[in-house]
Order: sequence, then C-alpha cells, then structure tokens
Amino acid sequence: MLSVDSNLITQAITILFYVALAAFILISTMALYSLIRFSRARMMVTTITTTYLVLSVALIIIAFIQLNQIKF
Amino acid sequence: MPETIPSTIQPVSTAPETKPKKLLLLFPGQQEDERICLVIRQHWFIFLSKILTWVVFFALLFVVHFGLKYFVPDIFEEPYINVLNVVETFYLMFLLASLLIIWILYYLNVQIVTNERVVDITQKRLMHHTISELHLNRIQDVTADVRGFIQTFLDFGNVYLQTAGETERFVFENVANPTKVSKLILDLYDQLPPEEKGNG
Repeated sequence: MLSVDSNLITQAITILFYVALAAFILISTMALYSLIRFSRARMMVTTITTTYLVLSVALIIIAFIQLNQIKF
Repeated sequence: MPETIPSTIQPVSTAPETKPKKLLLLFPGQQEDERICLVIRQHWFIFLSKILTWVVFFALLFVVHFGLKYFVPDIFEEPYINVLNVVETFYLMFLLASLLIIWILYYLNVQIVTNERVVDITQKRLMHHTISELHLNRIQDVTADVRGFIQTFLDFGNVYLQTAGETERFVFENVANPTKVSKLILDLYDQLPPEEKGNG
C-alpha cells in the first residue's frame, strides 16, 4: 500500500513537472517569437535569444536531473 | 530639423539628401525620403521599477529558502529536498522568462516622430502588437501631462495628441521630457506647407 502511494506521489510530481515545463516552453516561445518578429535590431535579438536559450536549456537539464532524484 | 531635441532622447535623424545610403527601416511603411526626428521609449524609471519588482521576486527565492531552513529543517532531508530543488529550479526558469518579457515589452513599445507623421508601435502583451500612425497635418492639439512628485522630479509623463475628427487621443505614455516632445511635434507641424495644415 505504501509503495502504491509513493508511486502515486511520484507520478503526480512528474505530471506537474511536465505541465510546468510545457507552460515555460510555451511562454518562452511566444516571447522569443515576439522579439524576433517585431524587433529591427538583429544583432541584439540574436544575442538575447542565444543567451536566453542557453540559460533555459541549462535550467531544464538541471530540473530533469533533480526530478530523477525524487524517490519516495 | 527643429533646434530643440530633448536631451535624453536619441535623435536618429538621417539626412537623405546628403547621405543617399541604404535606409534603415524602423517601422513598416517608412518612406525613403522620410526623416526620423525622434525615437522614444518609456522613461528609464518605468523600466527600473519593473526590474526592481523582478529583483524582489528573485530575492524572495533566497528568503523562502533560508526561512524554510530555519523554520522547517525537516524539508531539507530526502526525499523532500529533491522536490524543493525542482520547485526552486522552475521558479528560476519562470523568473528568467519574466525578465525576458519585461525587456520585450519595454523594447518593443516605441514611438517614432518623423517629419511627416507620428508612429506609435505598441506591444501590450506578447501577442498583441499594434502600429498606429498619425499624419502631422491631422494634429489639432498636443498636450504634455506631468503628474506627481516622481514624474516632475525625473521629468517624464504622458504626451496626448488630439486628432481632427476623432474622439480617441494618441497617447505616448511615460516618455522622457514630455514638454520638449510636444514642442518638437508642434514645431514639425509648423514646418508643414500651409496647404497641408488642417487637411485631416
């Protein structure tokens, strides 16, 4: 019974994780699209986009590593 | 080109008659012979206040972390510490996204004054982009509005352009040196040929 509950908790956390990740990716895509679509300063846009993508990917990888360490 | 240009506003005037080089298009529909007199964004204080709010939320991460460590030390043991780490990482991710959005909404909100018209490019939300333009000959009244201590002290405020035949006003929100901006627009209006004035 305890293992079933633990599995449920882990599954719930995993689902929440993916929902939050999807929200983050959606917001980021919309933001970067707006910046790329409407900005005229190509150099600045490239710099900001690259920096943002590098930081985001690093944080997502860290979040995945931390998710895999969760064991109830 | 008028003599008075607000000191904190970047004039990007190009003289097409002296430099017939490749035109830098700042907005859709820009004409080749159109001289850009001003490019205005919101005052830096507005941007700074948003960044300071962001810094508060960033500091909140550390305050809550050390608060939990002090009041709920059990949460820093397995397996709860791993859940806390994931939550903190996601908090950082959304903070990063919000910083990008703050910059985008600041950077993409821009007003451009040319020798022919006024262009207001507004990014209200990420997917709400509007471009309004108003020909100088349709302007009937220009009002600079500076309210409160901070706006008076830092010299920023709203500029309202009343157009002919329309109830809705054209508004530049929280721009630097609003009185100088309004004077510049009026000067540009005065430079129009007499037959064009009031033709809106």
